[in-house]
Formats: sequence, C-alpha cells, structure tokens
Amino acid sequence: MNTNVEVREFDSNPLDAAEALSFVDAAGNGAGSLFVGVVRNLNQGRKVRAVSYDVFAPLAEQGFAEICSEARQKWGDDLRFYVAHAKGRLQVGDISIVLAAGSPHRAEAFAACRYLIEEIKTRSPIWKQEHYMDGDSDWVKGHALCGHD
Amino acid sequence: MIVKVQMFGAFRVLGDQIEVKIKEGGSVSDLRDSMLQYAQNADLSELLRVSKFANQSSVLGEGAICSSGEVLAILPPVSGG
Repeated sequence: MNTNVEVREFDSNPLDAAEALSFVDAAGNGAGSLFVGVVRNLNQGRKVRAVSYDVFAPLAEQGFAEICSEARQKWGDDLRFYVAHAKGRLQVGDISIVLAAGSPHRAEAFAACRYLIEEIKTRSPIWKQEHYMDGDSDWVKGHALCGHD
Repeated sequence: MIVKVQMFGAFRVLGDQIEVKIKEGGSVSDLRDSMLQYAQNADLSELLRVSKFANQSSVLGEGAICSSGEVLAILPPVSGG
C-alpha cells in the first residue's frame, strides 16, 4: 500500500509527524517532504485559544485519496503519500493536519506535498470553529464546493 | 417524502441531523428550498445559498434526484487544513 488517508479523532489519537515520514519511506526514495498544520493563537486580529474541527469523514477520506491519485499522475507512480486530518477540539499548538510525500527525488516530493495541502484546503469537507480568548466562537468562512448532477 | 440531512459546520446549530419534507422525486434544488425555513430561523439563509449537498461518496448537483429516507449531508464552504 503506497497511500495512507485518514480522519482521526484527536482526543484518542493525536497526529504524529514521525509516523507520516516513516510511512512514505522506501528503499528507492531519496526524499521525504513533510507538511504539518498547527493551531495558531491569532487569526485576523483575534486571540484564539482553541479550534474545533468538524469533518464529514467518508467524503473527506475519499477526497484525500483522489487528490493523492492526481498528484501521482502529475509527479510519478512511485510516490508514497500520507494524509491525516484531526477531528475534534484542538488547543493552540496542537497538530491539525499531517501530510508527507515520499519520492526518489526532492523536486517531486516538494511539489506533490504542496499540491496535497492546497487541494485539501479548498476541496475537503472540513470546517473550523475558532474559540477566542474573549469567550466568543465563530465558524471560519471558507471555500464553496463544486457539485455534479 | 422525507429526506434526512446531516448537519456540518455552522449548520450544527440546527442539530446533528434534521428531517426535511420534499415532494416525491424531488431534487437537491427542492431540498434546498424546503430547508429555507430552518435556515431562516437560525439566520443561515445566505449560508444555505452557497452550500452544497452530498451523499456518502460525492457532492451532488442541483438537479440530482433525492430518494425517500435517503441520508444526505449539507456542506457549507470548507475551511480545513
């Protein structure tokens, strides 16, 4: 198996960057590219203390696999991918997403890893609710999805 | 007929799932119209307008036909990562 995609309940099993790099490693690979998304403490001037991630898991995981397949078509059948997105309430500093791309060469690993995160951010059914230091909460405005008849 | 709709994102304020009555053989567009009363009550009319509906495997277009008892999901604009 050359691809791992999953939505993970953060409370029971936090994301792990080392696990991602280990998965995409292979004897023929000279490069592993890693992206780690982390909850930050400020967004648009408001102090953030936590973020809740809501995920439609079956469609999200299917979409992750499709995006990996697209990346493999662009940069090579021999690439290995790891995609994991957290679900639930995360504190500042917690990891929300881990992506890794393993490839024989660095150019393909970098390009594919960048492609994965950019596509996931605009296409995956995932929603972010920010919880602010002043006690207020708000859903982050996002990208509208495309549908097909 | 009744279509069940799972709530996500800002629509969670309506609950985890709601049941919406639409005409027999109605489409996603009909479902959207029928959901308007729920959305108006929660000040979500504009969000409903820009949201999509999906089944377990794909995002549906406006003309897609709904089935009685089917469970769909409403997907507001996304913000993951």
